[in-house]
Amino acid sequence: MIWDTHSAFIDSANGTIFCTQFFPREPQAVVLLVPPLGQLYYRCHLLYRQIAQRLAKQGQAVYRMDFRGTGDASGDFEQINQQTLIDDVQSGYNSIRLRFPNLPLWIVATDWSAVPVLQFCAQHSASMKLWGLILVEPQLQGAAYWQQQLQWQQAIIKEPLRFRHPRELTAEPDQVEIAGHCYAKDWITQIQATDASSCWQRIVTKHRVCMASYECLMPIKNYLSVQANPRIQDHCIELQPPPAWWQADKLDQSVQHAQWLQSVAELIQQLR
Amino acid sequence: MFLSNYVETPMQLGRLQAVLTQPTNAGPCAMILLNAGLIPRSGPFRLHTLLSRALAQLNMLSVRLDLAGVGDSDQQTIAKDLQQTVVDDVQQVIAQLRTQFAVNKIVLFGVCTGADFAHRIALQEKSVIGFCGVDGYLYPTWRARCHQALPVLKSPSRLMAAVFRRVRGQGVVAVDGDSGFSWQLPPQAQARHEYAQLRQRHMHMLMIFTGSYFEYQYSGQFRDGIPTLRDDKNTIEHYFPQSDHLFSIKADQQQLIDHVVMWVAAISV
Repeated sequence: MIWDTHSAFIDSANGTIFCTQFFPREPQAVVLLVPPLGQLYYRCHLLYRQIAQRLAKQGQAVYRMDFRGTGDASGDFEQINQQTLIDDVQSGYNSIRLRFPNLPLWIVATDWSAVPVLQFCAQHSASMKLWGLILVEPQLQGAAYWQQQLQWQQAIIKEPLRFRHPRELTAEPDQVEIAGHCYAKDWITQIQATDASSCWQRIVTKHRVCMASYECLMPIKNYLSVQANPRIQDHCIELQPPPAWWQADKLDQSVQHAQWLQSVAELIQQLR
Repeated sequence: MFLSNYVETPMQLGRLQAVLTQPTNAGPCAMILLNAGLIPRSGPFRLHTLLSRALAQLNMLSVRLDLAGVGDSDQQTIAKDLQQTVVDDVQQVIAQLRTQFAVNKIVLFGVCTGADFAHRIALQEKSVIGFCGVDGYLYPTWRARCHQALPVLKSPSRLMAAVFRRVRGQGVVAVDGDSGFSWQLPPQAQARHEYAQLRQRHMHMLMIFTGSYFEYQYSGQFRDGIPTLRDDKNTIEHYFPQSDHLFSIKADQQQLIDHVVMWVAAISV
């Protein structure tokens, strides 16, 4: 093995995030992997580990973090809000910079986790040392994201192979349950009011942003066509979308998956 | 949810990654939570994390383990039988718990493939005093067949469709072997023999079945399929008809946690 795997709990505001670290002997860059929330967390966990191992193999130190209230981190999902997510990204970033103050840093985020990453980067744009972002199927419009979550929940509840009897959800009055996760109503209000495209516009000119997106859900061309500025397009690289998350249990055998991992690893290597 | 009387620490044993939940006054009994298929150690919809923390309220130590190739644990480098690898890995964890925390009694918990692994480990590891399996081994009985056939026989269109499927050979469902994490139901005679062994060792077994397990047709089918367990007072069978296989609804998850915690409290004394 040419890298070591360690796990650690890292202090964040009023709790701890969980971080699995993949360290090669002499890292030349660092990558922070920020997982998506809800059901996607489980679906892309394997892919994240494989990306981490691939990057570690080629000499990058990798941090795979869990937000508070998710995975192995402290707290409950009900306590999450947009600010706790931003704080947790910051904790991950600080932890990296404490250990590797000068190495080039990439952040990879998926789905809704792209938003706190963009918000954090926009807030600290002047001071932070960041080489670039890779956003996989990022959700920048909160209202659309929330609508999608509600539709998803309705679909799950009606799945005849999942539930033998029709179900009704009985979440607390100040919560909404989506796929086994209770979202606090205050956070839902924050989500619905979020439009992260302004953050994206601010940081895209400063940092390199690569995006992978499913054509059917969020055409990448939308991001680019919004920006008439060719300079922004110079900074944005379209990445081959990853294989469907829902095929996670077969990813090991997937040629498409291997190619995608390769393309991410090569991209980071080349852009360094 | 709970007052925090526990500490969580990462645990590493060779290629295996785990998280240890250690209550302030941990007793000599510990639970090991096994992966459900390829789902990482925090469990489906974070079930294992929540269960670990609920067990800490009973002063019970627990380990959420990523088996080789799942979650953060690396794959095995030498080609070996998957089930034996799992047994060896868990025995390594048990040895560590024995040395480090003076644990002498182990309880296992597993959903789906986790239930299969729990059964295998319980057979080989003497310190295991009980296991909880969710949607684990189940055998058809004549009563279950009647339950399945009755709605088909009552409906001419469904009956015709069933006959048509049978004629075209579509009635047999293939086992998905692609991922290497699906499990094959052992022959009933073998299972009977194994359960008889477990019964001789006074193994505590909590068998839970969900509504997603369509082969499960009535409450008590598991015991009917394994007659040696019919009058075994250490075997408990529960049916959660409203729940799905991975407990994707919070209330179902809480119901499962409550049942498991109550059962563990009773057997770990």
